[in-house]
Amino acid sequence: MRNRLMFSIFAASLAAALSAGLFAQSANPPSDAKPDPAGISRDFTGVWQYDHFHPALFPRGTTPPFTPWAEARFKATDIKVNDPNLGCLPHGVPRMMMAPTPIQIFQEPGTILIEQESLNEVRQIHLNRGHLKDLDQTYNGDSVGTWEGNTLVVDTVGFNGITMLDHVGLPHSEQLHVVERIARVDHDTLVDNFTIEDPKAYTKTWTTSQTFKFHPDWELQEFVCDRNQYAYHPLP
Amino acid sequence: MNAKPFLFVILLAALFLASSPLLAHHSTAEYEMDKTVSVVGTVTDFAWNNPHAYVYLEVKNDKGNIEKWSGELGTLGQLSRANWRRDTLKPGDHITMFGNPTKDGRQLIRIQKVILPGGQELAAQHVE
Repeated sequence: MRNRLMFSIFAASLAAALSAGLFAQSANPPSDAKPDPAGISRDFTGVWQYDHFHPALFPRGTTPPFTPWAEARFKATDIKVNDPNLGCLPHGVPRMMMAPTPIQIFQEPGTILIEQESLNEVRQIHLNRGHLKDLDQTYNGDSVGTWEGNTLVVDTVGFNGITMLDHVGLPHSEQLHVVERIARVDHDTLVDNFTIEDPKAYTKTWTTSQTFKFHPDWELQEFVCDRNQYAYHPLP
Repeated sequence: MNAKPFLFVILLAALFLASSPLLAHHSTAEYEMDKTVSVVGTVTDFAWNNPHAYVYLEVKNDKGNIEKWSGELGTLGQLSRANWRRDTLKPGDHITMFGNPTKDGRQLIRIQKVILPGGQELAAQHVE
């Protein structure tokens, strides 16, 4: 009798454990989720800085898939006077993720904010809606995000075409469409993979990436562009 | 104006590239990034400003004439993380600044590091 009672308790415990395990499995993120004992995979909060600065997304010796419009615009650009940053205008996306100063990421339900120290520029990523209809054209566009496992997929459209894609004057148009896949691959490393689509400027989509390192002891500084010594001459 | 005995051009200055400052506000297109020069002089002003801080120097050339030089630094955030403070340099300080010269020959450099009056080296950019 005692043995049967013990067996029943054991069997009930096993069934409870199995069902809890099955429930946990179904509640976990799908396929690409990796062990996450510290619970940080979807937590991007904090200060990050690039691990290597890429002023040019297409270094010397490589050729962007320019359309004739973009090639002419790139050749006409004098980065010493035509860079919108010289006028303290926002970097836009993706350049604000490529600047040689840190970013800080804030997460709250429904929204992720990313502040770039340079110009204290802030972009919003909306997690609970799709793109708005009849968007105004803006410097940072309209970003919406979804989670695929522990990867944040960010889709951005609605750009005004004033910004440049990198620090050497790579152009884009109002048709720019940026898709980012952002993942915290380990405690100290965040990777942002970009896919750039712009049928007016590029004959095909292309990709680039930025890797960030975690700096938990850093604070972003105020950056007001009030003593600018440079003159900005916009491209026509 | 062309006499520059205190200006030493060091080609392939790989020694300094590891601590190369990065200008957040604009490109480095106006500078010769593969050259490093040093400029020795006396600080007349230190402008602790965004988007860039600047150092202004008076430099005596080999004819005994005074040349006015300036050095461009990065943002105040970049400098703070590299242990610079608003009073790191003061008028009257005798310093050496190392950096990239301009392509058009202006008396301006993009500072990579300075040697302070006490001999301490200070890089213009936080180095891991």
